[in-house]
Amino acid sequence: METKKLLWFVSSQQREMTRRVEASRARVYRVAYAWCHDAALADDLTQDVLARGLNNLDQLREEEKLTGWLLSILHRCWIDHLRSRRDCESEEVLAELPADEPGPDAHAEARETVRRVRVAVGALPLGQRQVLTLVDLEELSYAEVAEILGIPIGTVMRPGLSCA
Amino acid sequence: MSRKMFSDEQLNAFVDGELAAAEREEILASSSVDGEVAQRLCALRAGKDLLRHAYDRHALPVPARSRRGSVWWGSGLAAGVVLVAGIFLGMQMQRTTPEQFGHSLDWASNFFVTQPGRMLVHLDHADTEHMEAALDLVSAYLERNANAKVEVVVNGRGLDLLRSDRTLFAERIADLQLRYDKVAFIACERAIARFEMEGERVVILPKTLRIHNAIAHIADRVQDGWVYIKV
Repeated sequence: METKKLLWFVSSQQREMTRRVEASRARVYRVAYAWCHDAALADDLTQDVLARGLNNLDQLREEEKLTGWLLSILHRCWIDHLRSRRDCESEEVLAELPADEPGPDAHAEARETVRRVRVAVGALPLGQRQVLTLVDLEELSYAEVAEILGIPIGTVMRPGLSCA
Repeated sequence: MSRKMFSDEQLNAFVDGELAAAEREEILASSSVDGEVAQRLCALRAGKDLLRHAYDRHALPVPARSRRGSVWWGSGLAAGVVLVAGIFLGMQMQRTTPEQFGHSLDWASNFFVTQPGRMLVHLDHADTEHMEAALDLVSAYLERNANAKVEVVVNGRGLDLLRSDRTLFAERIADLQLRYDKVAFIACERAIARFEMEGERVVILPKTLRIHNAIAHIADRVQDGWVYIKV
């Protein structure tokens, strides 16, 4: 009887975690898109992250850290992708984003602003772009960002996006 | 009266809520008397708002590549891989050894691959032997390409493979997910909805991904050069 109850509990917990992983899809996609400005690639990366996340759920120690954990998987997938594309180019070069960016359908002025912001983000070096999006879009702490990107916390201090 | 100068990093950390109390107080005090500090803080906050607006979840572009099934059903490639699947199944029925299975996989991979290491197995009916063959295929492929991405997509009655109350393969699936990082088992939500509407209670295995429309997803993958095997 005890074992059965335990098994039920474990499996319902697993279902809950699965649901939470799936519910993170939009957030992961947004960060992925902000990093690569490529909707198709961001979609692929997101799919990879969720699949890996589900398969490795047992490795997640604290459930509250789910988002940070998924984003660190995203970071690794993104770097892997950059590395696999070409061996001779550096990741920095590959991570450069195109200057032109079609905006969403909206009022012309609002569209232009969005475009300019995305261009500015795209012009940032990869590391800064990642830090900026994680701090400002996902509102993660410097400590969490340092953990996700595997960098010293001191390097998370950065100048923000300048509003010209 | 000397003016305290704050770096961009300090002001950013302030806006991010990352400063210790003492420093935070200092900047707060300064911003109330120093117009320039106040202006810089305002600009930083505005920058954050702009960024959130530019990447607002509801305004992000979605991948513009949903194609309907009819576009690729007629392609020679699709016919070819269905043929290959038939060969696999035939060999499976004759109890081919995993070794032989693996060799045919290599042959098939060379024949069809446009992007190495990406395979999608599609199951849309509830035949147990076909389910077993599909899992054998996945195991054999991953054994030779541990780093490959494999998706097992089920719709129609193939959903039974991933239904807790109906599948005979829950343990095997869990084992594959444990051993290989990039294998994904995916259930079609339209199929789930249809069975639920017919009064069935559908419980899916944990760790199963869901997609809205299996056929559109498969079309995208084929378009991207994934090897496609319909079992």
